[in-house]
Amino acid sequence: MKRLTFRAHIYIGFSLLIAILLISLSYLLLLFKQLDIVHTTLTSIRTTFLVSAVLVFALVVWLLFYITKTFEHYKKIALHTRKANRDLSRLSREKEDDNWILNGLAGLDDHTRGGRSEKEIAINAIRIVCQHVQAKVGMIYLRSASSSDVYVHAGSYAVETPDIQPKIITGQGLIGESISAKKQFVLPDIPENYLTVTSSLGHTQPRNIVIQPLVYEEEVLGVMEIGFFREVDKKTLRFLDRAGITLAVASKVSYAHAALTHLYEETQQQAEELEAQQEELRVNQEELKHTNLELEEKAHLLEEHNVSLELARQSFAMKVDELEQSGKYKSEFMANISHELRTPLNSILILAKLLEDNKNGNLNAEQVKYASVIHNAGSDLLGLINDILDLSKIESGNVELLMESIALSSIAEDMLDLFGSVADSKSIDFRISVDEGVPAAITSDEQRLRQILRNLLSNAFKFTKEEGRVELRFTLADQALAIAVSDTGVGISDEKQQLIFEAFKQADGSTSRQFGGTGLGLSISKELAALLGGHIQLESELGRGSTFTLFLPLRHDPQMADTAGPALAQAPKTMAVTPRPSVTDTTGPKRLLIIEDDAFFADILATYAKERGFETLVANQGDTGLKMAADLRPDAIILDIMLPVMDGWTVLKKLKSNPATQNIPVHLMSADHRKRIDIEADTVGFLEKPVNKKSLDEVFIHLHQIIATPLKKVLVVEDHEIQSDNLKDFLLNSGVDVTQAFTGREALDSLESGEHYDCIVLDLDLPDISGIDLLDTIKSKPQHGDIPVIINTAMELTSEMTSHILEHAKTMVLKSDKSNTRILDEVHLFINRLNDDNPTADRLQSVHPGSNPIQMDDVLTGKRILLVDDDMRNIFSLNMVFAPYEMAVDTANNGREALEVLQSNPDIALVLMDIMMPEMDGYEAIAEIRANKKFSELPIIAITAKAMPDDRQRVLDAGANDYIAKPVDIKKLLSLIRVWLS
Amino acid sequence: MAISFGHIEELIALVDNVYSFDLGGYSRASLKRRVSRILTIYDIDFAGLKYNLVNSPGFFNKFLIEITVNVTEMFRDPPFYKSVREEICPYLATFPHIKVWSAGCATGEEVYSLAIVLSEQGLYNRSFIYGTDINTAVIERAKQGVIDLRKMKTYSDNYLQTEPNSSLSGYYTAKYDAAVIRHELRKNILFSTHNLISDGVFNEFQLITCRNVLIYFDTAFQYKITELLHASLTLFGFLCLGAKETLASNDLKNKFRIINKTYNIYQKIA
Amino acid sequence: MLELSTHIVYKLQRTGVLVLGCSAGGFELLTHILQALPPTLPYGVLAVIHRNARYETHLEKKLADKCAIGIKAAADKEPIESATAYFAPAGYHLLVEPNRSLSLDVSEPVHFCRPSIDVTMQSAADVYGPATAAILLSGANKDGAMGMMSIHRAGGLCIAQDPRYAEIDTMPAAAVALGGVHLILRNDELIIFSKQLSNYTFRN
Repeated sequence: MKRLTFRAHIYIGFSLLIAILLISLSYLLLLFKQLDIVHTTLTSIRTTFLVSAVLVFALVVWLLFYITKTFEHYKKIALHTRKANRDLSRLSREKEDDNWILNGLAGLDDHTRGGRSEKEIAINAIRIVCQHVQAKVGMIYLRSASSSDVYVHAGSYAVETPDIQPKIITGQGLIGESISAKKQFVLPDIPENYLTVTSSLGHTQPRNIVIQPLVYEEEVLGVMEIGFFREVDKKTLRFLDRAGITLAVASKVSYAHAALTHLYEETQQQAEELEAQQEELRVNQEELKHTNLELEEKAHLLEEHNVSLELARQSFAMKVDELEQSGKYKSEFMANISHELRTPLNSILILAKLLEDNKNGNLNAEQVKYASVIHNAGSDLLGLINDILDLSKIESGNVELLMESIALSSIAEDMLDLFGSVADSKSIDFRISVDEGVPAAITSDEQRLRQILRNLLSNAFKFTKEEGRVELRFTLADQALAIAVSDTGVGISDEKQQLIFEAFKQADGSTSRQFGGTGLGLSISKELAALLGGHIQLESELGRGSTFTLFLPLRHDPQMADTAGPALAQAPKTMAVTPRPSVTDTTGPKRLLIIEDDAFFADILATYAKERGFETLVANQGDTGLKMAADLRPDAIILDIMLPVMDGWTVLKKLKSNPATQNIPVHLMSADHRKRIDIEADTVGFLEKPVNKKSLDEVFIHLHQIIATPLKKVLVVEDHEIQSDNLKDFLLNSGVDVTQAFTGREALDSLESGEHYDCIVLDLDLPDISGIDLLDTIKSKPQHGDIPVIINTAMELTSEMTSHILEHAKTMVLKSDKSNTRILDEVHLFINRLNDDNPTADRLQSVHPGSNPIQMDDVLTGKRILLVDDDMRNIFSLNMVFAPYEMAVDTANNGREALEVLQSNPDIALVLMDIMMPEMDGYEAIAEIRANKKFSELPIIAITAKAMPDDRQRVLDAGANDYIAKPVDIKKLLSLIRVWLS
Repeated sequence: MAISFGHIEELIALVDNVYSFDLGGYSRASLKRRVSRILTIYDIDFAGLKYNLVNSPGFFNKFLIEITVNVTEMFRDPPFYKSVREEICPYLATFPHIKVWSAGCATGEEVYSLAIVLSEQGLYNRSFIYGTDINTAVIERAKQGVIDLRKMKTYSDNYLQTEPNSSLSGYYTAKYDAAVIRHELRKNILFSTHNLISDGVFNEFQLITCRNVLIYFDTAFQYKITELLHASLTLFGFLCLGAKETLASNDLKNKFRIINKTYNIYQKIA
Repeated sequence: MLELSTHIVYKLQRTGVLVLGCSAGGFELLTHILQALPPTLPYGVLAVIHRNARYETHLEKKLADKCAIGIKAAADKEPIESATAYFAPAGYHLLVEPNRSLSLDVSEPVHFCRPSIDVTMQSAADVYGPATAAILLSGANKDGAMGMMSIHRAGGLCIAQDPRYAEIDTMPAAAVALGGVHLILRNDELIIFSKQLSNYTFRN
C-alpha cells in the first residue's frame, strides 16, 4: 500500500508539473500575442522569453530526469524494504515455530525428568505430546526389559483400552518398520480399513498418522504413534522428531536410574542380610565364649579335684601303710595267740589221749569213744592253728630260713616213704622220677621244702580217685630246679586256679567239705616257695588232673624272694556261633532241668517251672547235671555258674560239645556280671542273681517261646559262595537257621528232602537253571506253593520280568550293601506274620466274596477291561477282584502305554484310569483317548486320590465318564463297572 | 488391619461352606499370620477379604497361594541329605523301582535335591519322584525348574555341607539371573497338586519326605496326615519328617523304627 | 528387691507368659536372667535368640544344668508349662496357638531373622493379650521393637534393657524409640527383677 501510494504521488506530481508547464507556456504565448504592439521591445522580451522557456524546458527535462531517477532509487529502496520486511516476517514466523517446539520440549522435559519410572514417563510424555501437537490420539511403547526386539505398550492418550495393541515387534507392521528404520513415518490420508490392521490406534480412525521412534545414539528405546484429524505441518513433525530424542534420553536415564535404584536396594538388602547373619554369628560366638568360660571353670574345678584327689591318694597311701602295719600286727597277734592257744590245746590233747587210753579201765566204751572224738577234733584244731601260725609267721616275715645243702635223693625217698602206704591203700600208681642233669643236691631250707612237697603230694592223693596216678618228678628248667607233682584227679577250672592259692578263699567250700583239710596248705606252700626264692605254677584241666610245679633257684638268692609269684596262664576262649536248637517233638509237657546247688533256689525255680507247665528235674552238682542232661535229654536247662564238683561253665562247654545235648536251650544264671558278654552268643538267656520275680517270668516266657516255636528255616539259593556264606552268617546271627543251595538243582533237592522251609531267598542268576524258571517250578508244586520267596538279585530286570516274578514272589530285593538287612527284615516279616498272609486285603475295603455273590449271567463275565495304574499294588489287588468274573484284564503303567494297549486291543470294553502317573497323566490320557473318534463311546472310569469337587470336575472335563475315589471301595467299583458295561 | 482368632474361625467356616475347602485343621497361629499377610498384600481389610472370597471367583486361588507357606530350600538341613545318601540309599538300592513322594514340595527345591542325591547314588534311572503340593501356583513354578541364581549360592553352601563328590553347578545351567535345572534331572519327576487333608493314597512309595508340613496342622490333622503317609509307604519304606517333627507322641510310632533321631527319619515296619 | 510401681506390679500379677528377646551382645545377660528365674515361676518363658541352624549348639542342654527352671528346645504343639523356658529352634519362628501350645513355622524370615523376636511377641500377644510380658535385650537390628509395640497395645508389660548398658544398643533403643516400653532396667536390675518374679502370684 505504502509503495503504491508513493509511486502514485510521483506520477501525479510529475503530471501536475507538466500540466503547469503547458498552462504557463500557453499563457505566455497568449501574453505574447497581446504584447505584439510593442513589438520591438517585445522581441527582446520574446528572446528572453524563449531563452527562459528553453531554460525552463531544460529544467523541466532535468527535473523530469531527476524525478525519474529518484523514483527509480525509491523504487529500489522500496523493493529492498519489501524484501527485508518479508525476511523479517519469515524469521519472526520461524522463531515463533521454534518457540512452540521448545515450549513443548520443555514441558516434556519437565514431566519426564527426575527419578520417574519409565511408566510414569511414558504416560506423561504421550499426554503432553498429544496435547501440544493437538493430536486426537496417541500411544507410546517402550522397549521391553527382557527382549530388545519387543516394545511394550506403556501409555496412551485418548485411546480406548480394547484398541490397544499390547506389544510391537521390531520389523513387524508399520510401527515395527519405523523402529527398524529408526525414522519418522508420516502416513497422510489413511484409507479407512487400513489402520485397523497395521496401526496400534486400531478402531479410532484418525486421518493422518505419525509414527515417531524414540532414538538415542542409534538405539531405539521406544516408539510413539500419534493420530491427527488434520493435516500435519512441518513444525509438528519437527517437534515430534525432537520429542523422540528427548524421550529416548529420558527413557535411557530412567532405565539407568531404575537399574541404579535396584542395585542400591539390593546392596542395601544384602548389607542388612549380612548384618543379620553377622548378628547370628555373634550370638553363636557369645555362646561359644560362654562355653569356653564354663570349660575354664570346669578345668579349674578339675584342678581342685585333682588336688583333693592327691590328698585322698596320700591319705589312702597312709591308710595302706596303716593297713600293712595292722596286717603285721595281726600276723604277730596271730602268731602269739596261736601259741597261747596251742599251750592249752596241747594239754587237752594229752589229757584226751590219756582218757582214750583208759589205762585205769574206769571208762566205758562210750566214754572212750568221746575221748577219742575230743582228741581227733583237737588234733584237727591243732593242725589248723599250726597252719594259721605258719601263714602268719610267713606273712609277718617271722620265718627264719636255715639254708643248707639238701640231697634230692633223700627228699625223694622221704616222700615215697610218706605216701607209699596211701598210694597202696587207694591203688594209686605213685611214681618218682629224676631227670638227667638234675643236680644231686641244692641249697635250700630242707624243712620248708619238705613241707611244700608234702602239701602238694597230699593234695594230689586227696583228689585222685582210686586207680589214678600221682607223679613226683624232678627236672631242670632254665636255671631252676622244677619239682612237679602231677595227678589224674578232678582238676581245677581256670577260674578257680587263681583262687586256690589265696588263704581262706579256696574256690569251693565244697572241696574242703568233701576232702577235708584246712584249705590253707596251698597258701602256705605258695608263701614258702616265694620265701625260698621260687614259685609254684599250676596247670590243670577240669576232670583231667593237675600239675603243681615248684620252681626253686639252683642257687638261692634271697632278693628274688619278693618278685616271684604264681604265673597262671589263661587260655583264650573261642566260642562258635550256633543257631538256636530246634525241638521237633512238641507233644507232652516240656521237661526242664535245673542245675543249681542252692537247694532253696532250685526249689523256687522248680515250683515256678511247674506252674508254667514244665516237668522239672533238679541236679545239685555240675557233673550230675551234665549226666542228667545227656541221659534224660530235657527240653531246656537252667544252669547255675557256681556249682560244686563241676562248675557251670564247664557244664555248658560239655553240653555244647556233645552232639546229643548241643541243641538243648540253656538258660544261664549267675551273680557274675563280668562274664556276661562272653556267653551271650552261646546261650539263650542269661539270668542274673539275685533273681526277682519279673526276671523269672521273662526267663520262662523266653523258654516257652523257644520251645514252642520251632526254629525258622530259610533256604538260601545263591551261586556265589561268599555272598551265600555272608548272608547265612547274617541270618544265623539273627536266630534263623539256614540251608544253602548253590545251584537250582540243589535247591530243588533241598525242597524235595522233606525239610520244611519257612522262606526261600532266591538269586535269579544261577549256573544251571534260570532263577525265573526255578521260581515257576517251585510254585508249580502244591507243597511248596505257600513258601514265600524273596528274590535277591543283582540283575537288571525288564518291567515284564518284574511283573512276572512278582506274580509268584513276595518281594524283590536288589543286591546292595544293605540288601542283607533288607532280606532279614523280609524274612522276619514272613516268619512273624502268623495269620495275616494277605497284605493286599487291608488295602481294599470290604472285599468279602460272600457278601457279593457272583452271578453267572453277570455282565462282567468275559469282559475285557484296561487297568491303567503305575501302582503295582493296585494292579494286583484289582486283578484279584476281577479274577472270579473271568474278566480279561490288560494293564498299563502310564497314559502312553494305555493308548498303545487300546490301539492293539479294540475289544477293550472299559478303562479304569489312575490320574497321577508318570510320563502321561490320566487327564492327558483320557483327553487323548477321546480325541480318537473310535473311542468316543468307550467308558472310562477315573480312579483318583483327590477329593475336591473341582478335581472331580477336571476328570469329567477331560472326558472320563465317571470317577471313583481311592482307596477303592470294591463293591462300589464293581457296581460302577456294571453300570457302564450294561 | 489387626485380626483376631475369631476372624480366623469365621474365615475357616466361610471357606468351608463356599469352596468345600477345610482349613479347620490348620494351625491357628500360623493361619493368622498368613491371613494378615494376605490383607497386607492386597491392601484390604477383613471385610474386603470376605467380600472378595464370596464375590470374586478368581480370588480364592490367590488366597490359597498365599495361605500356605511356600518357603523352601535346596538341601535344607544338609546332614539330613547326608543321612539319606548314607543310610537310606543303600537300602533303597534293594528295590527294583524306587518311588519317591515329596509331599508339600512347594516350588520343588526338595524334589530336585532328592533327584540329585539319587542320581549320585546311581539310583535315579530306576526312581520316580512325585512332588505334590496343595498350591497350584507353586506347582507350576516347580515344573519350570527355574531357580533364582542368587539363591543358588546358599544352596551350593548347603550342598557342600552334605560332603558330596561333585559340585551343584553341574546340575543346572545359568541363564541371565536364573538357574535352570538340567533336563536329565527332570525326566523322572512329576509335579501335581494333592491335598494331604482331603485327597487319598495315590501310589505306593519307598521313600516319602514330608518336611516342615506337619507343623502347620493341629495334632488331629497331623495324625490324619501321618496315617495317609503310612498307608502310602511300602513295607520297609522310609518316612522323612522335618527336623522338628517327630512321631514321638504319635500312635503310629510303633509301626515305624527310627533310622535317624535328629532328622526324624523313620522306616515302616508294620 | 527392686521397687516397682503399682502399675507394673499389677501387670506382673496377671502375667501368663514371658517372652525374652535377645541378639548380639545379650547372650551372657540372657543366661543370667534364666538362672535368676525362680523354680516357682507361675508361667512359662519363650526365649527367642537370633541364631543360625548352621552352627550346632547345645544351648538348651547346657542351660538346663544351671537353671532352676526347666529349659527346652520348643517342640511343635507342645503345651506351655509353668517354670519352663522354651527356646525357639534355629531356622523356625516360634508361635503360640490359641490353646496355649507352641507351634513352629518356617515361613519367610522377618528382619532377615528366623526365629524372629517380633513374630513370637506378636503371636504371644495375640493369645495372652494383657497377660503377656516381655524383656528385650541387646542386639544389632530392630527385631523386637514391633513385637513390643503389639504387646503394649494388647495391654501387656514391656521391659527393655537400658540401652546405655547394652553391648549393642540398637535393639532395645529401637523399642524404646517406638514407644512401647514400660520399664527400662539396667543389667543388675534385670537380674534382681527376674529373681523376684515369683512374688507376684496374685491372679484374677
